[in-house]
Amino acid sequence: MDKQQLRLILVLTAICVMAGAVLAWVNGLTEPKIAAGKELKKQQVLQESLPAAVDFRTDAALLQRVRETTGPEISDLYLGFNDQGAPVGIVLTVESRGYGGPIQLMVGIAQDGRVTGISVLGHSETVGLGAKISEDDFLKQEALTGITLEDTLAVSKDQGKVQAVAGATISSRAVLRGVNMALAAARTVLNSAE
Amino acid sequence: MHKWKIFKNGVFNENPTFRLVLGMCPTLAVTSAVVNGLGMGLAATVVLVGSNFIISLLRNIIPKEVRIPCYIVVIATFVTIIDKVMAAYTPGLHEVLGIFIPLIVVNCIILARAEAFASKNSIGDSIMDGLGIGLGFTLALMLVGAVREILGTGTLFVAKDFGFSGIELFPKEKGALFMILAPGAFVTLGLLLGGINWLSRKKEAK
Repeated sequence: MDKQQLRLILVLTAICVMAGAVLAWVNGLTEPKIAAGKELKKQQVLQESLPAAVDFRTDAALLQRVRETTGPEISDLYLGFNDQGAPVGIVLTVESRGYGGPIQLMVGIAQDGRVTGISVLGHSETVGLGAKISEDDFLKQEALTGITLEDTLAVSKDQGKVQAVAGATISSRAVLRGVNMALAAARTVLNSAE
Repeated sequence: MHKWKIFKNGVFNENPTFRLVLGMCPTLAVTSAVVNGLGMGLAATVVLVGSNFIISLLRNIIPKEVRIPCYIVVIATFVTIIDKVMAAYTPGLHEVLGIFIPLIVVNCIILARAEAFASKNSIGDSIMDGLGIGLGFTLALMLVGAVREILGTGTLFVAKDFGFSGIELFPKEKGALFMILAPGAFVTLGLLLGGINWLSRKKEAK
């Protein structure tokens, strides 16, 4: 191997090692902040999904049971309690397959079966089209407010009442599928609790 | 005066979208609204200035046989750093622009400027080139975005994430969904390219 070849290998290796070191340093610096930000955001969305609750607890055994009856798409379950420690409802996070990838949803259901909040936690839908599923125009429409545990949602194309985002029926359907799944899961939790 | 010329060259004479016809993938994908174009353009500008700076700094060290892998490593590192730093310190902005950042890695404008400019010019000139090309890209994306947004939704400058509901020009229902979808992007870009070529030919003929 001549000197020139050695130089190519050395320079490229040095640049890659340096890039790796810089990335490791930046990652170490930002990772705790990113995790803290995500946690804060999650608490905010939990609060929005179930405004009556002040304290949220997880229940691994219950989550396991729900996943067995409803499906593995249920990714998290929180029990909400008010300041007196009485249960006020549950919040479920569901993952539904959208057009561009998984859509993470959070659905809050009060103890009496009213749906108190539907929000999109994350998605990778098309900008300007499917991405509109996370906007209030879609999530806060009339057909999605005041629904209860007994409802099954569908877009108007599927003889339902929900107005899909224009040009993004697949994304809209995915959201409703996720919400329906959360409702089914909530039915097993709330009905068995009585 | 020389620096200003480099800057102007990037915005007009070598406008990445309308003159070099580079970076068509993000141009077609994110221009459904002016604000999306602005976000993508600004994010790309930051990466462009940063990668031009580092590549110009290393231009005498990098052997030409392995320059492309070196550039790619520098650009990818830069994009990842920006992604991480924004996620940590400006989570709100990151949520809005987050989808554009991974797209910058596949933006060939960045690699093209590294190869065609930063590897041959001084650090100051390379930064100016990054700024000029970045601004030219941003303006082009906003122009395509403006046409599509107006014809597609009847509004302009909608920025829901910043709480601005836009200027309504005509009712939403009259908007042509076609313009927001991918075919609308191709048609708009084609007509704008044609129009700009026609204008510059006319200017040359004079």
